[in-house]
Amino acid sequence: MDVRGDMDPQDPSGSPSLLEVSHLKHYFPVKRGVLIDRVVAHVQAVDDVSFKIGEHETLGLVGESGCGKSTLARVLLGLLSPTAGTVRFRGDEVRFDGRNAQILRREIQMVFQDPQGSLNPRKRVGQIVATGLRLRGVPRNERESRVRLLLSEVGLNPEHINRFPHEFSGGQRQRVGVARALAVQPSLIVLDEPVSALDVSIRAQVINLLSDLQREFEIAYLFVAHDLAVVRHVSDRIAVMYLGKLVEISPSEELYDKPIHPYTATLLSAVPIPDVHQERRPLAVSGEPPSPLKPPPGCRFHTRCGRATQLCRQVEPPLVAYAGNHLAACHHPLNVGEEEVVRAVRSPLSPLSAGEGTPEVGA
Amino acid sequence: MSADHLLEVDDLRVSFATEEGVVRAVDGVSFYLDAGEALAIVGESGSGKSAMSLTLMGLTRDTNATFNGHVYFEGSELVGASESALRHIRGREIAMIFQDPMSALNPVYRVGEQIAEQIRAHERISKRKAGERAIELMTRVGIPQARERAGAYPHEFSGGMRQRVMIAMAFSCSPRVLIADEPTTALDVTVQAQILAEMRELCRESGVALILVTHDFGIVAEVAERALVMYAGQIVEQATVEELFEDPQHPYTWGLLGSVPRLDRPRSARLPTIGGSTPSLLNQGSSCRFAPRCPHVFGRCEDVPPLALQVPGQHEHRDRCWLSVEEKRSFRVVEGAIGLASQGGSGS
Repeated sequence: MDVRGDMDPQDPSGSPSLLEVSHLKHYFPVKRGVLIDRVVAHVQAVDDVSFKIGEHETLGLVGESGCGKSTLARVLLGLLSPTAGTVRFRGDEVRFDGRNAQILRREIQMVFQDPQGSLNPRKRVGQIVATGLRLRGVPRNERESRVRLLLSEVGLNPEHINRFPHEFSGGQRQRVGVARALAVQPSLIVLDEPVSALDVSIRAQVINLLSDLQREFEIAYLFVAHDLAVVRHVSDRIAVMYLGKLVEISPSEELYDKPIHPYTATLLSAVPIPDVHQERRPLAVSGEPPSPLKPPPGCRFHTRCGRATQLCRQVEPPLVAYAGNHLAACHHPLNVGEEEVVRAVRSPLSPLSAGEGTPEVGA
Repeated sequence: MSADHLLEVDDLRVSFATEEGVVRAVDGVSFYLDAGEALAIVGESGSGKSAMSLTLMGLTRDTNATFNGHVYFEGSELVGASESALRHIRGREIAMIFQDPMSALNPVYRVGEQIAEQIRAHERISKRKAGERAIELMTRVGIPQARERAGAYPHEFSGGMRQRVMIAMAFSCSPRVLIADEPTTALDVTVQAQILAEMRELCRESGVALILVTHDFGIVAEVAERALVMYAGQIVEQATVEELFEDPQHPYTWGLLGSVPRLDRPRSARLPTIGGSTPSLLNQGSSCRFAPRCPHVFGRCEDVPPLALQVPGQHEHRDRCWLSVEEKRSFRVVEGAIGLASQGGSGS
């Protein structure tokens, strides 16, 4: 099936898509053996995921540890190559080898969770940021002034160009990471938990900086995080992953007002709210996600879902498009009326192994 | 000192001599804890919250550490108490849970053995019986198939299950006080919700007083009855949780409350922030610790304000700020919500 273009009628922003991910899989082999490593199993870290990111858009990607969100981010950067599926950048298929990957990295940059571990401790920040400029072919004599400019863009003192990473605080180091990513003038930055290692008061500063930079440089973000409140604050649309599958993707406010997948509802209800008058909610879910080595058949969430039926245990739910560009993969959707269910259609983004039928009315 | 409270900390000071100078990690902290209550200690890294909770357990004793002040547990002094006296209290009377359960568990011993060992360290009881008790405890903290899982090693457990093991261990000797230092920070939200609920339930059931160290106001609201906000080694505000959320008095508290995006409120365009960064604990001057980051700073802030009762009618509510209550109530409203005005804003 041709996936390209199928979802365009429902495009939220109307802008052409920057990045299109189709049926992407990444399996990690699990090897065992003394002399000869035999592949005994596969961790299905990312299992048939499709979505797209528009120009200048922020797509939030949430899920618990082990859901595959970081693996997905790494595949997009070409740090891991996909087991199956395609990635198209501005319409061209990306090949994850040699020079192609280099071109990709000029367009897609990454900011990591741990600002300490992702900066070379032996290099001055000026050198760290200038590497990107060199790769982009900026002549040597212009580099220093460009680095100073970049440092002040991210709120650092340009005079600190000769300092080493350890001379900065955590928040400042994360700013260096952002400046390094900006240096190559990317059109997409993948932010992998960019603020979760930072203190609360510093977190807000970095979040504000990221939104300022996005406006100024017109960059798209893929914002990977587990903090749902932060993701809601920064994202235009949000994708929710569970055990390697995309379970829901929707415009940000829509997702929070009206979660359709029970897993999304669970995640939202588990976030502690800083309000003493808030009712202490009953536990939304018990247990922990099963191992991605042996994911459950059918809907992967059925082992923890209160609404699960025989159907969920046998048939993988397809992604179904509801009104308002809201897609969810559930046989028994929450928060949608009968009419909406009747009008819903199977999305071409659905995994290839998913069942055909859309949810039944009254199910 | 009175023995009215289960735990009483009086002007506790902890400093560490380092190559760069003396780090005053805890700088004159006083508070109390009553039996069965839940107290939250809120602060960012470097606020001294962990150094203080470790000191309560006697875990900061080192050749470069200096202690002043008092910690009374049921009336008996812990600062300066002998190691053997402390060993008696540690684990049995005051138990602790850490952020990272993997490094708190021994990787080469089976989980059940480790819990049993903890029981046998404090009670004369046979190995078999201790093992049985360990399995009971594991069941109680929500570990499924506890009998089989008791024979597993820590690496075979998920993060949430390891933290449950730590809780089982902490409760194994029916302590009076449980100190939990960021117990759910490393866990996913759905697991965090389960663990917090279980911890709350266990504490309530067995009347254990809880000290919960956290940076997350959401967790404070869910779990605690009273809270201390710490900044640069000092308590800057202390109140019941209700007072803290409804009528926060210290600018730092406003900043913390305001800078967190909230799921229960409409999305704002920009987050109010606290400018600057957390101060170094070396060579603190004599001025208010928060003054360099505070937009409302004025002349009096050159002296450290005392932690004093200021709000009429709120007998638990103390804060360290020179502003009058009226000024605070007007300054803290930023764009309709509680937050810290941007630097150079009103109030100077």
